[in-house]
Amino acid sequence: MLDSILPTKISNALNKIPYNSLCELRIRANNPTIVNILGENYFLCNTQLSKISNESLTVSMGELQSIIQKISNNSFYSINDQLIEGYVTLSGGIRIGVCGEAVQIDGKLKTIKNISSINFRFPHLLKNCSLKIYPYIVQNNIVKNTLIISPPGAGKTTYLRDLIYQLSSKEKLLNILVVDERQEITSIFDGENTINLSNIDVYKNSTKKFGFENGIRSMKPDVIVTDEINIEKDLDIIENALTSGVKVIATLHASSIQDLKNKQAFKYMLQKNLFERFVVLSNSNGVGTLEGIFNENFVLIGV
Amino acid sequence: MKLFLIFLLFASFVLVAIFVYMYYLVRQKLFFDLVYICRSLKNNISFNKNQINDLLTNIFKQINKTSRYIIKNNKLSFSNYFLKNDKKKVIDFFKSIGHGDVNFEINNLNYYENIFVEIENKSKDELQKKGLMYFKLIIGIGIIICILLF
Repeated sequence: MLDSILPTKISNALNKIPYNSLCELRIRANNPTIVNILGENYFLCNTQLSKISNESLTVSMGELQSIIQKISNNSFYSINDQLIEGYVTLSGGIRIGVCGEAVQIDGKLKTIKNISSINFRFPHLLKNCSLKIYPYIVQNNIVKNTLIISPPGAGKTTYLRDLIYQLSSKEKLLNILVVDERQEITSIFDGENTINLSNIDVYKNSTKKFGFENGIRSMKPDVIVTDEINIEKDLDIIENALTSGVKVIATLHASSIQDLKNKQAFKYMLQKNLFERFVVLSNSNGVGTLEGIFNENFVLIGV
Repeated sequence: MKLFLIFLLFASFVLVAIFVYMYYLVRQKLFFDLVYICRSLKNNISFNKNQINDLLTNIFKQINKTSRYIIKNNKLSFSNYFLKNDKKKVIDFFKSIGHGDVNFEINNLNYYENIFVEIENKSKDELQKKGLMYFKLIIGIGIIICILLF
């Protein structure tokens, strides 16, 4: 999949790893290349994975710039807006995080130059992984306002993606609007694992503000699904949706319910009981471990 | 028989005249198309941010066939013949696009558009003056030679 983007030595080594187990590829200029296999980090070597960095493959600064140029298909301007946000999404939902030197003009971030490290995150479509939580989220054909929380890389997006699939196939008359700001949720549907999702409207690469406001106004959704809400930025628009009779399913970075309660900006929303279900995921027994499902009063109702 | 040979001689003069005129015409059209490429890229990049390869594929469908051939095969001596000293500018132009953000691209395209407009104007003048002059001159010489031989 990444043969045309990565240096040959890296793509050759990567091709020996089954895609399903590959979670991350981390390339730092002139440093050992690291892969994450099912939650565990290894150094990527020519013929094997290793815990010792001696034989690990390295990528030069020049090769790293070439990767960026290839990612943009020789059209840097087409990914600059995404780069400013710190990531680029490839077709198939592969999310590429970048680090480098920020260029600011008048205090506004214009671009990132001298990119020194790249992190590829590979999405996986785990069919039916959300079946455990589904009965708690959809009751009597009514979708509950749900927040899926977990630390980064614990499977929030994978759960969300499957939840959309389950909702779409089981509640065929429901209008589902997906606000896919980072093109992570739906892009995998365009890839090999194409699923015919007939009742889904998608705003790709749009801000949550635009997606929510215009979606509610023009698409009359029953449910809005979105990924990784930013409490500071998105609270108003989500509250507006929740109080407009639209159901919302979203994800948020937090390691536990307590962690969520401690978030200052979120306290107001919690007090109002706007979310009815909280699904907590973790990495404790591997990626996507379900820690619990909580109701609006934070009472554990399922594991 | 003599009349036929004179006709053949005149025909060859006409062909040479057309070829010389075509040289100036193709060169003028080539830079006209390069200006068109700059303007199209500018509009598309600033509006929908499509990728260079997709944009060029679409634009190439709309430009003159000969221009397309010369641009795509700029390494061939055939292209050298038409591009002359401006070959480096054309190559630099294609090398320069796709490396910056939208503002950079627009400024870069404006820069090259101005260069190509200037060359196109010069080519248009050459077509009007030299192209037409050589065309008339060669035809005239052909007529004179044919009359003398007749």
